[in-house]
Amino acid sequence: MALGERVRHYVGVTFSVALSLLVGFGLSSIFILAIGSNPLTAYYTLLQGAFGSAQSISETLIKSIPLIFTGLAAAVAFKSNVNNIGEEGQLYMGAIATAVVALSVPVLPAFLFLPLLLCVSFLAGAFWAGIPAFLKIRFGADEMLTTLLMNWIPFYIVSYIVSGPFQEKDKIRPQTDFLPDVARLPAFVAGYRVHLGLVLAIVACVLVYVFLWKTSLGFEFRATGANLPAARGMGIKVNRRMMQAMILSGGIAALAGLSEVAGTVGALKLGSSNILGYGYAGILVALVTNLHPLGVILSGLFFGILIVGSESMQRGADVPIAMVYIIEAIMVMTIITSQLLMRKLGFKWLTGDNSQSS
Amino acid sequence: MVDWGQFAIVVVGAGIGIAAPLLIAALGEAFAERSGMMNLSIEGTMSLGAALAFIFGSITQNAWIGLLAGMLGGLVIGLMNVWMAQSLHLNQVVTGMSLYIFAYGLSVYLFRAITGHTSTFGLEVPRFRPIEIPALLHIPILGPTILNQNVLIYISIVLVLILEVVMFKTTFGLKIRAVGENPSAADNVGINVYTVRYICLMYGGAMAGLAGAYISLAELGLFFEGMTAGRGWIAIAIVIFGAWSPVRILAGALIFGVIDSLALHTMVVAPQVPFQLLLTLPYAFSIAILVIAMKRAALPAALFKTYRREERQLG
Repeated sequence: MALGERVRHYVGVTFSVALSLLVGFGLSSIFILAIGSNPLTAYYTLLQGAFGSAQSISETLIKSIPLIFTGLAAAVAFKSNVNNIGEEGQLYMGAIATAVVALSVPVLPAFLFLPLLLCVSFLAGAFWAGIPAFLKIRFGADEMLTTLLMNWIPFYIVSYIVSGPFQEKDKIRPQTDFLPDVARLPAFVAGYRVHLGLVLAIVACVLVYVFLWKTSLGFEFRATGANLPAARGMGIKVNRRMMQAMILSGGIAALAGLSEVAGTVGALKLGSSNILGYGYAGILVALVTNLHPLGVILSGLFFGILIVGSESMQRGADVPIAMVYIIEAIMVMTIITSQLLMRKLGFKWLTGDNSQSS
Repeated sequence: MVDWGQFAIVVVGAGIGIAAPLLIAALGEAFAERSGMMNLSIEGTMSLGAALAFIFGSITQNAWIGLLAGMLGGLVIGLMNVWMAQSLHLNQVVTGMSLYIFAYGLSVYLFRAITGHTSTFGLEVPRFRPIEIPALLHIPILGPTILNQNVLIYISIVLVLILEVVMFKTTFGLKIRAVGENPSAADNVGINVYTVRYICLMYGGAMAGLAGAYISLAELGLFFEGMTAGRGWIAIAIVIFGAWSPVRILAGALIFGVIDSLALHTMVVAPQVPFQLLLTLPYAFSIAILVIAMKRAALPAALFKTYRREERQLG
């Protein structure tokens, strides 16, 4: 894109996102008004909860880390024509691998331990995503269905591990022992919980962006996603690219598990997947950015703000915590609809080369 | 010493109860998927159905009105999904996932907004209880397993047979399958793709609402956040396991239900057995069935594909 076009593109995107957020908060206000609370107070306490103190900013960032990883994972896959909705399971595989390896191998120095954990968790997720990719290419089994089905198997494996072979010393709580300090992602600001996982997540997004847009292999991934028959016609090995995209996606999703186990929580716990697991939420994180790896950083943060802010919204404005789900859903719908409207109205430049036919 | 015969009867009896909401939701989703639309919002829709059923069952003190309210709520979510995915051509993963979150949030929100309570503590709701006819209960094996369930279970078994006939023996069933297989061909022979999909998704949503209502009115007599506990997702797995046909879905739901029940009961009598690993089996089977289904072309070919009339292949 020419520079002027690029500027217009980003101005357009910013404008349409800002408008969708405004409409979204407007629509959400109806729900807040209906239970007799003041929407402005509610939104104020929401922002206060997410940004009010350095401590709350740190918590918001922490909540965003797994969402950025799973969002990036979804973006890579969807961008390359493989619809991976198994990030939840791949995240668990990463979490399992991290906990099992960290608690099994003899203590290594941190500069060896962390890269080792990074590798094994990535491989565990990549392996888990590789199975549906193989089934798709070899047998034509729809990857949306297989990845969805494969989400539960690791969930039960976690349940087994934390109450069986790797249960903590006292054998009471359903969790593993805490990881040795050298296996923990270090906090980088003294006194705050926010840890190295945030840096890894952002670096991963940048690397994936550079890979997809600045390398010829990345171009082949995107071409496969944009128009499969045309990509095949160009001589791109589309099956191989889809397989690779899926494996990369699974590995990235697994890093969300690494970040939870070796960073935020410090141990593998049962039920660390909340009801709207990070894996499922990550799909929405990716889709609202139109599958842009750098956009994922922003939308991951946005979801993190909503999650952390909703708790203070309940305390401060007496709005039930579940309101955050309604707000999230409305935001996703308004943003997606605005993308659609812009395309319909002929603002092709708004979505630029990110436009995705689906 | 465990009496294994008695153990088996208890496990199966409880398994049927666990299977019921899975079956009901899967019977709805099967029709949606047969028409070519994936409805990923079931989990949230079930939660909404459970909440509405409890709220209105409690207000009117009539479980049937509660049931109807749950179904209506589900129907509305199904309608929103098909409108966004089919009429607005939005990606079905986006619509399904966002409605899942929306319906989930709405269930907790409406409970609080309408009843003014934060929990069901202190609220009474009439329940669907097992019909206990003493004469029937004494029939060996059948008595304590399938003859002492609640009326909704018998209704859903009858429903299985009706739906099997609708899907495979009626013109409407043929239309649904045609639309899911090849929408443009179906359109060319005069089938209204939009109408068929609207009906299937609204019906599928209502069934998900009913499944939720079953959980709050028959199973627990309660409503709380997260009570559906992932069972909507399992229903999707059962649809695949049952290869999109109602009778096989019944079998699939029973297998899931009994394995789940077996795991729960094993936990009590033999805590050292890794029961969790047993719970992974149905998913592994479902994946195997999916691979076989692809070979037999049993998967609706147009599943996940939004139909655009202007892209119809004429000829």
